[in-house]
Amino acid sequence: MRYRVEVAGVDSLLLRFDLPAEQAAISVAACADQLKSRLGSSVIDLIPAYNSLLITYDLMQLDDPTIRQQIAAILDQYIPDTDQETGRRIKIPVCYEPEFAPDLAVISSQLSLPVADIIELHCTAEYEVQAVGFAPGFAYMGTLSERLLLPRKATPRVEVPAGSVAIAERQTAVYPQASPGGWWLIGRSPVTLFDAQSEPPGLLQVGDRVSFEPISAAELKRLQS
Amino acid sequence: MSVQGLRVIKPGALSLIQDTGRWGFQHYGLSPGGAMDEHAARWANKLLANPPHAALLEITLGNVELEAEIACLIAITGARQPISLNNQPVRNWTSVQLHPGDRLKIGFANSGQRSYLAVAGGFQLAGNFGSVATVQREQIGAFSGQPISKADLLPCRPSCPERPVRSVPWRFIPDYDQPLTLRVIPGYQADQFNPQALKTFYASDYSLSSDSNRMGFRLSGETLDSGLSGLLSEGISYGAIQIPPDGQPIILLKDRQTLGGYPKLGTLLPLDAFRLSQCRPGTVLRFEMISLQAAQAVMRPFYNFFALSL
Repeated sequence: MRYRVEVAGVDSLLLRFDLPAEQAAISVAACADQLKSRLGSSVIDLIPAYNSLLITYDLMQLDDPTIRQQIAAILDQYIPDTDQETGRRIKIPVCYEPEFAPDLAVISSQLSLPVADIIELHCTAEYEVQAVGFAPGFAYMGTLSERLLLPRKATPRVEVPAGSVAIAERQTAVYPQASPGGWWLIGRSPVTLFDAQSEPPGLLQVGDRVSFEPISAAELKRLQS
Repeated sequence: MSVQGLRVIKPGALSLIQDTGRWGFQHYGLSPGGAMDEHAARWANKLLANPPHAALLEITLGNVELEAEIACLIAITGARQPISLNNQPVRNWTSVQLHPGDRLKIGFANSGQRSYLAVAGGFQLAGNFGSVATVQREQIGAFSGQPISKADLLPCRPSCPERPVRSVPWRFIPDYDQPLTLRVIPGYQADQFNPQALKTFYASDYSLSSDSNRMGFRLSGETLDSGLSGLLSEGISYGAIQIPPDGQPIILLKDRQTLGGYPKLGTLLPLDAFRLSQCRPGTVLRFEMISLQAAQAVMRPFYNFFALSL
């Protein structure tokens, strides 16, 4: 793997991989796994996002020159397996019915696309989780069809309900908790994306492959209960 | 036997159970949280020979009253404030033996922002993912991620026999009212920054804005134009200094989000970020550079010192 190393704090380095941001997730996640398993307890946190990876390490075990050498020894010869057949695949059920898709009608007229086509475009593609953040369990997934390209909303909603399935720019996401949000809401999922009582707490991780499966309002109700 | 400990009579404006943070879960989007001023927090635990990660109480601006239900040894460090035990004055930065029925009163802080109350053995509270650190925004940590409230019980183990009182040596007690120059480790996008913006940043006085919280401290002063825009979100480390489009720096602290997309010119030396966490709005701040090597040479002995038992 080719990458650049930047300083990101007294105990942190940021690796920038020489990969297009939208196609980096699976490789970056694989590099993070390699580093985690080979460096063990001397690494405290690894945050992958697009084509970067933030590494925070234990200053009592390592110093800057040592961790740089160790990273080089692990990653310089490493070629991640990005085969379509490998990695985690996750299906997320979504109800696209109007009651749960408050922005679908507006988007339909803005994009001059029938609602059925928007749903079709959204749920036939496979997405990769490119970053997780903003809130616990919030996964930025791409790449959304160019035909659904919209900027974020000019005025964010004060409260987006938990489970809302949303799009903005070339990405899609599911809101894990009720929160303010500036993305366009096109459906609702019954899936729990984040649960502080379970281990692991989050359903989605960078590098996961995700697809959406349409369900009826009745199924949504059933799965929510 | 029922659970016993310290009963909250008056919770104060913002009193949170903390430890040294929730590590290893940032890739799920979980903020690390933790004590804002680790210098004072680690001293409180060290005075009691606790492990550095022991649960303690972070009190913002004082005004807390507690009643002991059992005999226990506590220590208070951090912000300067009047402290009394059964109406008799008690010193800060020292351990204090409590007996059942004792009333501990902590008055309003008059220098510094945050104080730490630790108990021998640590508060016995459940958290999430190996940490009790309270992150209110995420509703995670002790007390379901909320501040303590009136009548809550802060459970602890009885400490018998009584142990000798210990105090932090004077030379390690900071004066939170002194002017502050904070050391910055250049990093992130520093090499791509507009050089004039960096020059201005290191040559100007900034004032701490009242719009500051555990997530980040906002500064006001000379506007900085980084010359960078349209960056992708990337992992944020403790003390990162980001320059949003309005040109006023924000320093990201313990309850920071894990990702951010604003240009960053570097990160504070953690020791200086701990000290910054005690500053009040309006405090005048200046910045100077420190090399990574020098910064590691400052922080390693700090962590080693507190990792050893007294």
